[in-house]
Amino acid sequence: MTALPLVFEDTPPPEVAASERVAADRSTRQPVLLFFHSAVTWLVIGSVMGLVASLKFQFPDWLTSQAMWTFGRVRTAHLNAVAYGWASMALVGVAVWMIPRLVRAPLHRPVFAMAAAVGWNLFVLLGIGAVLAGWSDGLEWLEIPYPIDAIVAVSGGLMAFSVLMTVARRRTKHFYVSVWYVLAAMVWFPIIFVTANLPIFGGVAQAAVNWWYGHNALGLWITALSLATAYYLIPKVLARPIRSYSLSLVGFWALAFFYSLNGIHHLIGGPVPTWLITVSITASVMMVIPVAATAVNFHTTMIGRFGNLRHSPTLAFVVAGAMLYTAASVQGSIEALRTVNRITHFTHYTVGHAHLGAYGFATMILFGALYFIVPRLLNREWPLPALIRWHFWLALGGIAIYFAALTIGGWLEGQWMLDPAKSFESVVNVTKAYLLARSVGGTLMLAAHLVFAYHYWLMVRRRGPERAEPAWSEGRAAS
Amino acid sequence: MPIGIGHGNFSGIVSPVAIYILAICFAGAVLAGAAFAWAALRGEFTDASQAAYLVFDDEDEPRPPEHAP
Repeated sequence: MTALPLVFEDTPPPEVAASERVAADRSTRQPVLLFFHSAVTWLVIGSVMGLVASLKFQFPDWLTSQAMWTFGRVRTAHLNAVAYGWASMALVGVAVWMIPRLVRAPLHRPVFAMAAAVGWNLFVLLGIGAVLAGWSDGLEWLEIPYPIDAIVAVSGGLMAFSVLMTVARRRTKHFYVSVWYVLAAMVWFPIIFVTANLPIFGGVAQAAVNWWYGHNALGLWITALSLATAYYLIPKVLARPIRSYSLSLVGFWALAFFYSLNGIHHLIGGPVPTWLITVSITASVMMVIPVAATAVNFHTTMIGRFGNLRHSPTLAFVVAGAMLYTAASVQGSIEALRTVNRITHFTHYTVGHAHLGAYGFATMILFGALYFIVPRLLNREWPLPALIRWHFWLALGGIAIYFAALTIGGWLEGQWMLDPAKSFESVVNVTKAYLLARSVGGTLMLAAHLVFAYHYWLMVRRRGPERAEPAWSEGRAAS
Repeated sequence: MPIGIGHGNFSGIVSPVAIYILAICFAGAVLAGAAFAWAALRGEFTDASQAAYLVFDDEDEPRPPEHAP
């Protein structure tokens, strides 16, 4: 093995760079595959539960004989399966794979990352079991009972230790922007998760802490890791550096400053001090700064290269996710305004917004990441590229229908609820068609996930045709 | 039952949990500030554009940044 040169060298000789990259990849292979296998499994389970919950709006008497299949439990199980099982495990897998490459050091104690993956699965399994059995903390995003939360606290600690120690042993002088986001997420998430689960809060303070956590789980964990992934993959696939590296740092620090205060806008109209809500609304609007910085950077990096979308599944998914990040974030800033929130609060509009962020943005980027990373882990190209096209269009079509239906239906629902002349029954009736469209969108998304899971299984089991060229690469040189 | 700093003149006015949250947030802010200062002191923000190339390795052939049309 090539002897490593001086520490903190951003541009090592090619043979050293190759040696370090190989060592980094070798150290992460097992834990990353374990995270990805688990994530794909939870994606399918969580999607089935989501569709069951959605179909209950069309068939309210369906699956009501057993309490575990009632809406309140199935919908909650769906949220926890996709948020902690799919998104979190897949994002951690991507981070564990990315960081050693970016800091040119092997993963520190891969066995810790393996143990973290096992523990995280145990947490999700027991947590969803508890929720379905009726044992819940009763707080959104924090439903899993806190004794079970202790498992993920330990697992997360092991994983964060492994990643942070890898960075501590880095051989690069600078941090790439993705490293900033991952480092921050590894510090932020334990703080918000442990704090929010302390059994010391009650009343209004509990509600405030609940939404402080709920929104930060999205913004300081899922968003941070998803942006880290996008900042890695877009330049990588294009072989072109990000347009403005300084702007990417502005985006990171602005997100760090403004995001943590956003959550309290969920309590507009609630018995919370007005100043607290006003601060939260202000911070929500200020999120325009990091979002604009990120959007401008991604867009100007892509300019003149949009043709590559036809030849890279990774780029297609990630660019779609990045665009929907901008859309979801701008929508979120507007939704936090009192005048808008007055209509959208307690309606399906919020559900549409949440899915635009968690699915349109984070999940689409994750799909792109898996299409990029898994061939490098298994040393094999995706066997059936046509399935990737099916996956892409089913997922994009599904979220488009889902989002449009709940946005329009939720807005109407909000306006009708504010009209004292309208009966509650009429409010329910006005949403029926939109809820049906939501189930159609959800069905398309589940179909996309089944296609993806089947393709992933073929890939892992080494079934299907062996291909020499990456998927969708035909005609790349000519375009 | 009042806890810690919730005793005395502030008892019944400031919830003990508010004090806990403030302490946690303050610790977080100190941590973030220290991270920012550390990054600035070690030159993370000087010659930052160089870091844009760290994403590339022996698999890639990165080209210099191009100006958008």
